[in-house]
Amino acid sequence: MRSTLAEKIMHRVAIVCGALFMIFLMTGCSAGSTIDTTLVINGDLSGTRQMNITISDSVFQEYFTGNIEDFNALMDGACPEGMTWNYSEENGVKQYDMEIAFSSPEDYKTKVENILGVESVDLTIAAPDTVWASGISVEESFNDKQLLKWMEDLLVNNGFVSSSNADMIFSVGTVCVVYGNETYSTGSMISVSQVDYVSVDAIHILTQINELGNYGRRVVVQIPASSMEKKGDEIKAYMDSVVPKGAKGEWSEGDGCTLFTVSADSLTAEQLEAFNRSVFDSENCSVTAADMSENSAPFTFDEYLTEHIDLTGYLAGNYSSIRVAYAIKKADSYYAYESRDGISKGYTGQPWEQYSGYDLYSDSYYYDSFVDFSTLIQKAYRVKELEVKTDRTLGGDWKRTLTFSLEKTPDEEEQAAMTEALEVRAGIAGAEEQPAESESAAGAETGTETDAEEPEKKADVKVSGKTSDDVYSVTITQKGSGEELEESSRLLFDAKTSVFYACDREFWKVKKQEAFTETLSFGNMLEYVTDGFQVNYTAKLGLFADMQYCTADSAEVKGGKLHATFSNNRVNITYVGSKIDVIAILFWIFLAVGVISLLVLLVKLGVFRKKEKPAAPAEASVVNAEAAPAEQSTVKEEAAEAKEEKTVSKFCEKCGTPRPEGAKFCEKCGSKFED
Amino acid sequence: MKRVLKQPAFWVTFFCLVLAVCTAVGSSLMNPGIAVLDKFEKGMNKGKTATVVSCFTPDVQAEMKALGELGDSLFDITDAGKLNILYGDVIKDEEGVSGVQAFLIYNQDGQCTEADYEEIDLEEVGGKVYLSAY
Repeated sequence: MRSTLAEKIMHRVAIVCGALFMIFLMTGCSAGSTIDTTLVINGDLSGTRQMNITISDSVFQEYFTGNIEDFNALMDGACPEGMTWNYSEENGVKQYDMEIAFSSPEDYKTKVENILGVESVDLTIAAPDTVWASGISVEESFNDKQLLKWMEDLLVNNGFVSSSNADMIFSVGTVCVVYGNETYSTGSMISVSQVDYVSVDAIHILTQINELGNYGRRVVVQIPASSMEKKGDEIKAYMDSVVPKGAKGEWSEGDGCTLFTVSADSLTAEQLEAFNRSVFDSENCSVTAADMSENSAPFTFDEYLTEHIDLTGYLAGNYSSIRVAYAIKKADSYYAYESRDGISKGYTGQPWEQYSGYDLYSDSYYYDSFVDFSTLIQKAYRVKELEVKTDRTLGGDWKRTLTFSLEKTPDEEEQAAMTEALEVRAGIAGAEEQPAESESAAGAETGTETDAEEPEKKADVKVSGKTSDDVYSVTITQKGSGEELEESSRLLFDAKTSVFYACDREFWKVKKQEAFTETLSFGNMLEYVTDGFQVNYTAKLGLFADMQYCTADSAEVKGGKLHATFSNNRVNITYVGSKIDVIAILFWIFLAVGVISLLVLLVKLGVFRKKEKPAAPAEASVVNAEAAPAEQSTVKEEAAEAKEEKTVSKFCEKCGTPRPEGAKFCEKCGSKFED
Repeated sequence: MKRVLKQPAFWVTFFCLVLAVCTAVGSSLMNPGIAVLDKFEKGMNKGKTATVVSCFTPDVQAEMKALGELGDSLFDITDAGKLNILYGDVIKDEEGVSGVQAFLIYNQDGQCTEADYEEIDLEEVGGKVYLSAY
């Protein structure tokens, strides 16, 4: 039994020794040369990567075929851009010193990508030197053999080394990183993390929008008790030092942490940038505020606020993370949206109980060295009432007046901007027609009347603004056919609208049935309205209008006008009723008067006179002739008399006694002659 | 004749009747009717299937005839009242008459009970305008 155990032990020792021997053989014979690398990083993160290749004479003799001078001559042309090389020989040992010098980590990365012939490599160099973190952190995703692959190819392709020995040309020796006075050893792929840091729980970045271009900023840094215990005095000194001029720094105690708050009440975008640079202790912080009003509704003024905040003062490469929350407090009538481009509207935040009045937009852990916040801020003049008046002219054209009454009165500049924006939309003033536009803008207060965009469909559009009873209102007047109004509204509101009217066509009908329908949408004009907002709609109807049918529940006819209200920010109404047609009345009046006149005429012409009546003049003529037989009248005279007899009676109308010429009364009965 | 022309009543009659005629003609010209719609309206109100069918294009008429009798259900909407079609001017495109915007109004006892606004498709075949869709 004992010999068996001893044999087993001996057997195992033999296996281990054999394995060690094999490893020794493999390492000793696997490569012809050794690369020793030193990455030197300076305080400004510039530096050099030195790769020293050492080839012993025996190895050279065994594996190298040809002349070293010939090879060096080829090296000049083959060495990639960004790398330099030097050859030396001492005591039979040949040495190539390869070097990549860089001015910054970015420069280093570019050069390595060029040498490797790849689009991107992972390369991080960070050397934080703050109270939160100090030391060096280097991460690379490549090694020396990859960086010298071009040299290996040069040796093999030109026959200096057999292709069967290609894999054994280089072997990685020592790799170290030098930063300051410290040297850190690492593997073939450099990975050094020598960062000493104290953690920060969270940073809360609070933005108060006072008005467009004016912000309040508060940054609250939550420092855990453990960090304060470790470097409390250093942290306090540091935080006090980052408070910018004009801002306020305050220490307070929170739940298991210490809070430091830096705040400033009123900052422009430039001042906000300076604030961030100071608080985050980095020049790599930027703030931009761009006017985006041209993309917004006429009653809205937009600003795109973007913040780029460098967190490297609190982070060390990939070795720590920090929770950063971003919140916004808006003044009344202001709105804020996350936005990637300053046009689209994203998340609108949700109330954050921790900070009264603030809405939380973002709350995440950040591992990157920076954080970006992009916010679309809108200052909106809410519409409190919209009055729509639609009239139809006798010629069949339409006149529509839209009056938007705003909750607050904009300043003069904003009023002009609103009018101009609407004029641009309507095609009255074009963005490219600057000279004409400026004239239009100048006349905006009083209103400018020109044609709309489409040359073949032109509605007259007039835009004006006025303040009445402390309420500012913008009025748009559209005149034209239904199609012209439709096109005009499409340009103004970017929405489909329609208006159509029809009535009985029988011209003789005094009471006609009429119908009209109108659909109006206002696009983003009514994006912001007050509570209780409604559209007051009025349409002029025909004479003595009587409503029979209407799709709007609130519709009523008063004073010859249809009134209705809509609370859903759009108008959609179909009306049917009756009216009295003036033209039909005129027709009947003309006809009636004509017929009556005709009858009168016929009566006067004696068409309806009785046959007996003409007898009196005839008789009178006979009697007259008998009463004056002596008179030798000519035919002409008789005719004249006969004519006179038609107008003056020669007999008493009561008793029939002949009437002497010139007599005023009847000689028999005494009756007075009328004529 | 001279006696007639001297009468003021003659001139009143003349001008009034001329104005009445002008009013009638002008009104008619301003609101020209579309015969096929008037015919359709009459056909519907009188319940005459043949009249209604004749308003459609020959193709549609053939389809209707192939389907057989249209039945009384066609006139359900005009059983209780009257259909009144109020329409605007015809819409024309490159191919000629294409439609008309119209209100289809259902009246009962002279009062509208329902109204639909729609564009009625029209088609011109051999110079005659027909309803192109049933």
